[in-house]
Amino acid sequence: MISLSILAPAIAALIILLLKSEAPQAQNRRNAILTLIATSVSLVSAIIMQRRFFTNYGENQLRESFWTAAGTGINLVFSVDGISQPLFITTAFLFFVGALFSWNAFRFEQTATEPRANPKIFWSMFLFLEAIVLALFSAWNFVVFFVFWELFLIPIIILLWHFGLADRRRAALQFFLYTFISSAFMIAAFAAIVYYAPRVGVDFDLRTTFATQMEIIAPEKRMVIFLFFMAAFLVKLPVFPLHAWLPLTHTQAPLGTLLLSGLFLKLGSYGILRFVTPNFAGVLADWGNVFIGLGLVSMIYGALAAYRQKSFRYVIAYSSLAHMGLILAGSLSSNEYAVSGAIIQNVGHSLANALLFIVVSMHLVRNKSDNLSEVQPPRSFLYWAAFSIALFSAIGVPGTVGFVGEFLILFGLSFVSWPLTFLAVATLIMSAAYMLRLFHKIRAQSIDTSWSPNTVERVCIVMLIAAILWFGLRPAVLVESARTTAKIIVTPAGGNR
Amino acid sequence: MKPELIPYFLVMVPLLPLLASVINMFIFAHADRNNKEKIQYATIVISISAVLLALGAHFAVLHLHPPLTGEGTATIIAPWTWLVLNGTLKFDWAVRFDALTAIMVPVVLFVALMVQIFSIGYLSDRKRDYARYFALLSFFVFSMLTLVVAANLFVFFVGWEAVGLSSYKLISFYIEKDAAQTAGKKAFIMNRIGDAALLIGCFAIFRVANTADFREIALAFSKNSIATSHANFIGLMIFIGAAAKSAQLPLYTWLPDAMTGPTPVSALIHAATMVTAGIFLMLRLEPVFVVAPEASLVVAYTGATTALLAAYVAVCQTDIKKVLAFSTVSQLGLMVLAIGTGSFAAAFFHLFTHAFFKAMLFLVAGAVITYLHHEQNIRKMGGLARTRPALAVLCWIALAALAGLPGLSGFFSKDHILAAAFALKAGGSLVGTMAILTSLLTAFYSFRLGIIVFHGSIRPNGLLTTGGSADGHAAHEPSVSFYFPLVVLAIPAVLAGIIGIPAFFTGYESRFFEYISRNIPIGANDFVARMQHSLDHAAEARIIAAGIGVALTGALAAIIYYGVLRRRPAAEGAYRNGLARLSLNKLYIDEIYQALIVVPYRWLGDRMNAAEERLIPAISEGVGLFSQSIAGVVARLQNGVLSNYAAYMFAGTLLLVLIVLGTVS
Repeated sequence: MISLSILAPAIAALIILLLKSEAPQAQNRRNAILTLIATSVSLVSAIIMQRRFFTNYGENQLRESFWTAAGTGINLVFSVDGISQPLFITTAFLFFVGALFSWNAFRFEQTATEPRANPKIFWSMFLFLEAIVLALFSAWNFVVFFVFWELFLIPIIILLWHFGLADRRRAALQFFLYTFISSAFMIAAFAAIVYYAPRVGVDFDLRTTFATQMEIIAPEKRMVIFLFFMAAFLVKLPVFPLHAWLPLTHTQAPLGTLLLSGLFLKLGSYGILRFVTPNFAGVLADWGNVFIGLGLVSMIYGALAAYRQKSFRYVIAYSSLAHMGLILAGSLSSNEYAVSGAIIQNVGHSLANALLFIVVSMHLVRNKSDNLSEVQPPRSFLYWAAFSIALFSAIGVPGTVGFVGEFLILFGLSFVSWPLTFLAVATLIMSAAYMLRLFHKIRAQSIDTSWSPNTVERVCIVMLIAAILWFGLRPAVLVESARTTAKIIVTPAGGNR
Repeated sequence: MKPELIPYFLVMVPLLPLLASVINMFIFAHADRNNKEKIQYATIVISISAVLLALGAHFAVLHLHPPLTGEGTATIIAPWTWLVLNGTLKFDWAVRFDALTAIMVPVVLFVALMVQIFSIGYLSDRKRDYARYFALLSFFVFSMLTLVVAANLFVFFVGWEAVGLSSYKLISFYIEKDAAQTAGKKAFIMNRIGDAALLIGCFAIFRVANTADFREIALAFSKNSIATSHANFIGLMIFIGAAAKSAQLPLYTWLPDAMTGPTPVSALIHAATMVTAGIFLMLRLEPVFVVAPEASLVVAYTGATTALLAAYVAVCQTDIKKVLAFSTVSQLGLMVLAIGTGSFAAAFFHLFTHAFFKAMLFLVAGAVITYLHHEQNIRKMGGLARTRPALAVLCWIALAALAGLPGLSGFFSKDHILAAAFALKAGGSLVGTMAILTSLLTAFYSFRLGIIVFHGSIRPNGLLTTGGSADGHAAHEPSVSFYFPLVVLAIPAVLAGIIGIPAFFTGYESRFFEYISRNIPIGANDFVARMQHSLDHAAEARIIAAGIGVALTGALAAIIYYGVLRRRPAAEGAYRNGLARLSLNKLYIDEIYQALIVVPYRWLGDRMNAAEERLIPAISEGVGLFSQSIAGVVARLQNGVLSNYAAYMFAGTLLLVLIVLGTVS
């Protein structure tokens, strides 16, 4: 099932690339339909995976092994556990919504005057991106993981470079620079682990935790390795002050993939949950609070910056910075609740962010401004419903998935340190401040009666609202898998200290 | 009907309004989409019938349920699990039926019903908004009921946040008014401060008691296994949460601003129900306060201060709704004071009676505002009794109950609180004096309001001189939907006190108090004995006499000053007197917040953005230079030959893989 959901988009991408060009309009429709089919195949198999997934097992499961190069350790193995399965299904879901929305965006673009690069490239890169992200979240071998980690850059840079908005070139360069340099740190860190703890390198396969093997590395070396990992993932996350690429890519991404921006940040938090939290319990016990503090600084900085932005997209970008700070704090808390909260928040933030970006993209595809002093909302109940629910999820109102993650992270954080918990809880007020300011600014504008969301947009909105409310009201299935895995990875750290 | 049906009825109570809200929302969405001008009368029927059915369900439970004779006889139903954290710490969608809900649910539903009927008339000049209004109102009723029937802290918190949310939406109901949007935002953010504190309190409770269920919490706290310092911390956090919701110092500033919403909304949410949620929370978590005497004292003193200062501010306000808003803050302060002294039943009783007469007062204000074409300034009002005598009578009934004139509901409930305040061991005379002064000021501003609005010469000049029909509005003025709820509300406003007459008059504990104190999770008797002196008969008589005396004095002073001497409230800025200016400007608390919090926060936000514009590009530049210096490849890439990307990347990845392989061998 994992391979099916990865291969379906990959094959569809190749087909789109290889098929002969037709008249642009017919070709675009054909490509869109192919994309939709491929993404729905991925989504359905991800859902089947969720049905087969033992939520109370915790370790990796649904393992699929394809090719083993004996002695080299490069095994093409895919598997998921409680950290990756929620992200896997979210990815499949969001790419399906993204495909629908991209199709919609292209239908608008046909009437635009400025010719763009061949849309065929867009569709194939979009599908490659899905295949790569899914493979990244399910890779169960470090080499495979790293290959996909690097491959991820290619489609995203191409998408940004050709199909992004006005300032796309600068965004692409910034993103490339930051990410490329940070991944060098990751490979160095892993090389060091393999060097100092050779048993890890026997087959390069991942474990839910390497903690026992890590014991033999001297503490100061472990510290350095830890810092290297953090350097890699903190950029990807990102946190203050390494976030320069974030506002740019969040605002200049192509309209169809804008709603996936929140998801792409999860690469960083996934890396932390996969490599840092389980394996560096000792270092985290000493230095964890410093990095949790960094996460909180990020939250406060993001919340303050978002409070004074003049454009809708920038508000979302800085709110992402704030949310990722909270996820970082949760991931590093070495506490079962906080870690499972971080896993849930990975899902929650992706969904809420996607819905917010759909709201803003509905303005942008119609060539309307998203400047807060000019944006004109349509007269539509669904528009306001989408906006309100995304906003409530972002500020963690019970009943939305945003609350589940925030609640668990904050509760877990209280086991680590009360002062940090106070600070983190105080940012709840700040997030309400900038989000309500955004809502107020848009509410205060006059209504634009010339448009309202079309059918495709309605479908996207309804799907996302349903997901946000469903996981908010019935989080048990999500939380149980997250929590059993979280229990395993924090046990070396002493569980709930 | 069989007792087995109790769970179904119990769950129906909050779910029926939710269902009504969802249906109304769909009706609104449908109408909005088709841009129909048709007025959605169906939504009114749906909302009202949902409330009626919920009332029916509640009384069915009341009828079927075995008599409540203690915490053990309360019914808890948990049909659905939300989340399980560990063996005992789990969050169910659980509801309960006990003495508090048995009384609170009908109060909420009854006031909601009256307010909904009133709203039909009040919104008759913007009928197109019926669908949205009734959807939101039903959602509010659902949230409030969820909060009331919650059996654990999680469901309670869901209701708590949901009432905040629906209050925000209803305050900013007039989309076109910018002030309404700002007020809604302010209310939500101020409430959010309370939510944050409550969340911390909840975490602490989960940590020490390892449960979220109210019954288990009561057990854990009654075992004396929890350190007093922990209990005090939890009590303070819970109190901050309650203070934000129940508009106590210094977090009350959102409530007066919330008056920009529709007046029936103010009646339901910002007088009778939502603002009492904080009181209700402290009643629910009474076991915490019982073991936290220091926190209780903070509660008592904050309540007394709030009561006195808010009453003082109410004296000089010129907006009819702001007078009532500050009066609400003041009365909530009295309830908080009662909780702090350990007299939980007294607080609940005042909450109960206050709901009726304050809702009634707001509805009267709504009627006055409608008749005077959306004029809210009492300086421009006067002589309304001549054209609307029935309204004047109803208003005076409610005002007399608020002022605590003997025999009316407000008198009895206030008397309990005065007695509790004077009995407090730690500074009882101080707190009691503050409560007595509050009563004095309450009577004064109540009568001031009544005299200025309904008596004296008719104002605004020319508007009502011809009996109100000068511009043909009188014919369209709603009468049934205005007078029916007012008359119905007048009955409990007058009579509700009967069930709680102090033992001083009758010689035995009243039904209400007996019922509540028997069913409170932890018998608070020890706690009361620790916090309060027992008052002898003579002291009680003195307190009752003083209560009656100050109420009459305040009323008389207002009658002389405004009725006999015919003074009018001065215009803003006309006051020379510092004391009066302080009252008129609401103690300058808003200005202090503006200067201490809002302005620095904005400034900080601007600084952050300045940093974003300068500092962050500098970091990126640095990264760029760094990368250029370490690798020419990267520099070549920056030339932007995109087609080379894939090749470079592939080569790079391969190289790194080789490096890794090299380290292994």
